[in-house]
Amino acid sequence: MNDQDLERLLKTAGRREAPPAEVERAVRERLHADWQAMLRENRERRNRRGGFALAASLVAAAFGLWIASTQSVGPSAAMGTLAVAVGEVRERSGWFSGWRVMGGGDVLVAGRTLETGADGRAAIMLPGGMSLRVDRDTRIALVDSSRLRLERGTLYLDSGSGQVRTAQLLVETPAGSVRHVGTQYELRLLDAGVQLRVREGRVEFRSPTGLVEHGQTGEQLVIFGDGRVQRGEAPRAGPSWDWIADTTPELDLEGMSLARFLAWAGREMGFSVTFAPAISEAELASVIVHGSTAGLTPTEALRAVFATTSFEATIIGERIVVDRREPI
Amino acid sequence: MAAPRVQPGMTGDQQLIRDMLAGDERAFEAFFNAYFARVYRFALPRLNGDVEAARDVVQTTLSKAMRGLAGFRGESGLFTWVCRICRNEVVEYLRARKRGGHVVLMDDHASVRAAVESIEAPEEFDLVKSYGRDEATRLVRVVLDRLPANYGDALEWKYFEGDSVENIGKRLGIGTVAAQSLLARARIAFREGLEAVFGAEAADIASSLGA
Repeated sequence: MNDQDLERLLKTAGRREAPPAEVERAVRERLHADWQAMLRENRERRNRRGGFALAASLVAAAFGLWIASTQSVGPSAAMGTLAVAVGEVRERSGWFSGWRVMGGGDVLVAGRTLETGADGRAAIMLPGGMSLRVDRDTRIALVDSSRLRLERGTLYLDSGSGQVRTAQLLVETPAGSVRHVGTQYELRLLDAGVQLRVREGRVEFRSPTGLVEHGQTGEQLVIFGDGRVQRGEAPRAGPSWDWIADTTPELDLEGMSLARFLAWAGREMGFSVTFAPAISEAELASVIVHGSTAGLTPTEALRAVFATTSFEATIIGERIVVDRREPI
Repeated sequence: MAAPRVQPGMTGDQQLIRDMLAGDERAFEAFFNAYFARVYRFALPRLNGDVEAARDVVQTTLSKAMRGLAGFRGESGLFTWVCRICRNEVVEYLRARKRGGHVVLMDDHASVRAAVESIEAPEEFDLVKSYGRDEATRLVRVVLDRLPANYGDALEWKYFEGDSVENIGKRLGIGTVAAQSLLARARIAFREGLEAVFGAEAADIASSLGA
């Protein structure tokens, strides 16, 4: 096609329509404001999560140290890595030493005490794929590689999605200790005992007097110091779990299958995943996603990732329902 | 506005994303100028010409695209990726307002869409019979929109406005020689795009449209 053919063809097709100026102005203004807001959010998130990249590399080292520590536990054995630090997170090595402010990427060492302030939250990556989340106003003594003591506040433990699960972590409280059996649970220290909410799997509570209680998925147990136990239901998702999303470590999304991403999102949000009749998990396993979900909560990540696929994920009750997106 | 400099090993899209995420105002302007009009033209016919709906959908699309830029890796081309988001937003918009009967365009059909997105030719060619004249000319404009933004602009400036190469270079913030080279690449890309979508030689397409 020569230059004249090209000119004739373009003129026959007509010039592309220019959007109305007022629409352009309105969209530009709103998009610019949104961009500025996004930059602010990114800056804040970077400040909060700045050490995550370092954490990712350090966790491997921490794992090595943990392996060594299982052979001979010493006071300086590494227990894990601080993946996310929101607000004030600090540690001290003993009663006579001062508090040291911690940031993302710091290695946690056995024998020390970790504390979050009134605005502080943290996520800790532990060997064996375990993820420990620490709520505000919480104090934890890192006893050794398989044991910690909750002295105040609330923690949440996710033992991992099933691939590794070789590690065990015993959580001690003044009222007794909790051992997980492949689970996600929240443990809150109360004045009169502990409150245990099991999001997935099973946990075992053992008091110093020999009382043994088991909690199952969707169950809440309040165990009082005098041995009384109150059982109730605990929803797997909802506002009472929102604090955990605030400390979700970044996901290495690049090259991951959509099925695996979905499993991660479901686990972080406490939702089960179901598929529409015409869709199989295998189909999602063949879809590879790229990029990162840096700075997004699991709910935001779910929306962002699915927006670029031909599937849609809808949250119905405590389920993520995956269906094929309606073609247009 | 001067064209942003591209670092070795990075595509223009990747550089634009990096600069935009770093807070560079010029990158924001470049992003807006490169995508707003094209996404608007993509959305408008799918919303049955509803300008207000197109404004909202384009706003949401660009906002989502902007917020997802960090995750974009360039495999599909930034505009194709933005169009995919826009397509989903159109569905969401219509569903939220319980409007049925959304518009299905020729380039939403799987074969044409695949051609537009990946530049693979369909097997048969019968231009006016297959598409109709209006749809065929619209598809020519779609092909123009699918080219890198400065290619489409440069071709329109040259062939509609009769702009000189020197002036096109000034408008793009590049030199005359670079503008000449860009125009040559734009012609090739346009011709290849037409051939991929219509499955025929560009000269035959021009003839069958009576150009």
